[in-house]
Amino acid sequence: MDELARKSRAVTAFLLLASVNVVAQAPAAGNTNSFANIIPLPPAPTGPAPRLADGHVDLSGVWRPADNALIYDLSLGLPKGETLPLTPEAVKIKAGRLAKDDPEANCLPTGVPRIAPFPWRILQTPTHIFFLFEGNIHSYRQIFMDGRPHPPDPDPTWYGHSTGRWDKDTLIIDTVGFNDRSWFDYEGHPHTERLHTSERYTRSSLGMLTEEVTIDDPGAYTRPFTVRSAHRLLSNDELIEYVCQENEKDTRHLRGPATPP
Amino acid sequence: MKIAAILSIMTPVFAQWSNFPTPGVPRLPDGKPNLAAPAPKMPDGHPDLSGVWVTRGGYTGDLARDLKNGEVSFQPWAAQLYQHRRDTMSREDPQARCVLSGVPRENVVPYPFKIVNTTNGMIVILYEALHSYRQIYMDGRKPPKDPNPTWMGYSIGHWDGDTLVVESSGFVDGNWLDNNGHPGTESLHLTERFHRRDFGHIDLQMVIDDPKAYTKPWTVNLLLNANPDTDLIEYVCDENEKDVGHLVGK
Repeated sequence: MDELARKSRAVTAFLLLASVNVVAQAPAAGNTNSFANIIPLPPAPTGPAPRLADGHVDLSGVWRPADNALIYDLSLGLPKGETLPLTPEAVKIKAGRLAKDDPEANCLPTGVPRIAPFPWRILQTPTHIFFLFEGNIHSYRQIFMDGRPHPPDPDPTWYGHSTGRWDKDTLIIDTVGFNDRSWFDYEGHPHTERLHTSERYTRSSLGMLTEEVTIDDPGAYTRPFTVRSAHRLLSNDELIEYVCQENEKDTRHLRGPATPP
Repeated sequence: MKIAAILSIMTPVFAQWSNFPTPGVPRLPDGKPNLAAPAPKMPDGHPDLSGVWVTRGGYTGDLARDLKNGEVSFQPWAAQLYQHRRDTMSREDPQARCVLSGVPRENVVPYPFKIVNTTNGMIVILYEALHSYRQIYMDGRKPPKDPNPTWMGYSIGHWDGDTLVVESSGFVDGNWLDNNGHPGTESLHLTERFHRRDFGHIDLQMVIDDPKAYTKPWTVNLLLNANPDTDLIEYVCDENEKDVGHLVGK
């Protein structure tokens, strides 16, 4: 990665964390870059989505969330006019959450689907798909594509147990076995161990990847709902090493209720 | 204390979700993996190193445990630092604070790792330890001239016959190469040679060339064992971490 890109990513991350104004400008949904007015993203490359020898679309590459709406407030990924169907108990849990307790701020994994604002890589092999995350911790997800079922009683984990399959050109990832510790967003939208996610990734062109995640958690939401976001290809770029725990000075400065920074 | 912690975390590997038979594993008539079968190949003819691996133990504490006196030849300041780390019983170990261990250390921890041999210009190693990963570029690129220092370094691989040779540089200063605290610096150049001699085994040679800390390179030879029919589990170091407070060194 060239020096300019490296610097611009660092500046972007800083502005993103430092500026409340950015939050106010976050779009309801769609492909708009929420900080485009600060640092323009390079244009996404155009052309058809590449394919592998087996005929499936090749999702491989370094991707960058096209907007950061979901990590601020999951409800920004809903269709216009919809609201999150929280149970009364979930409303209470959310209301009691403090910014300093956000697992993201404490260098813990952010679960599904909280990826932004960091770039991530998709790797594709005949038996697996892997997501490598630049942040918030240097971590990964494995998606088993070999037809195995979910284990009957998995140990609860931050990323859950994921199996994948193709529906034509769309990758569908089914995940269960989550713990109840990750937060969906800075707002502290909660979930329980009953969470079941279904992610649908479609590479609509060389440079664009759309994401639809259906969240089904009868422990915290009265019905399933679907949030949408998008990712853009970062061509000629690489993940860099983000080590959240190294010289960490942020968490002790967080004050007040859970809210976007 | 640390050993007890490691053992207690290791146990679930055998009790976990992953007794799913790994597809493509050669088997004996009784269904057990045939570890002596030939190493599998990638479509391009190179060995496929993919799989879950773990070092035959014993190097976690002292990477140089098999070496003779004098083979690890410290620079004077590094000898002093190593002695300090021994005297304080590794109390300052960054890994105990959940910072990435980097390589070569992640190769010798008692946790398994998964090598992912892709066909598109990259080999990736997923480490169970600290739930971290490392990318090895196989696309013929040159190392960057002035990389940002990282714990994992910047790794470029090529094939020497059937051996994968990985050259890494661009490491952080102040690194620990093992629990004892053999120092690593920004001048570290690590050469790893992975040779999958059969389905069940990889011979791994690691040459540690760090002129700022050592007067000459030193070499560690390891055996990696395949762990078929199991998988990595999620190790989140920062979750409910209670270890650092109990490190007893002065």
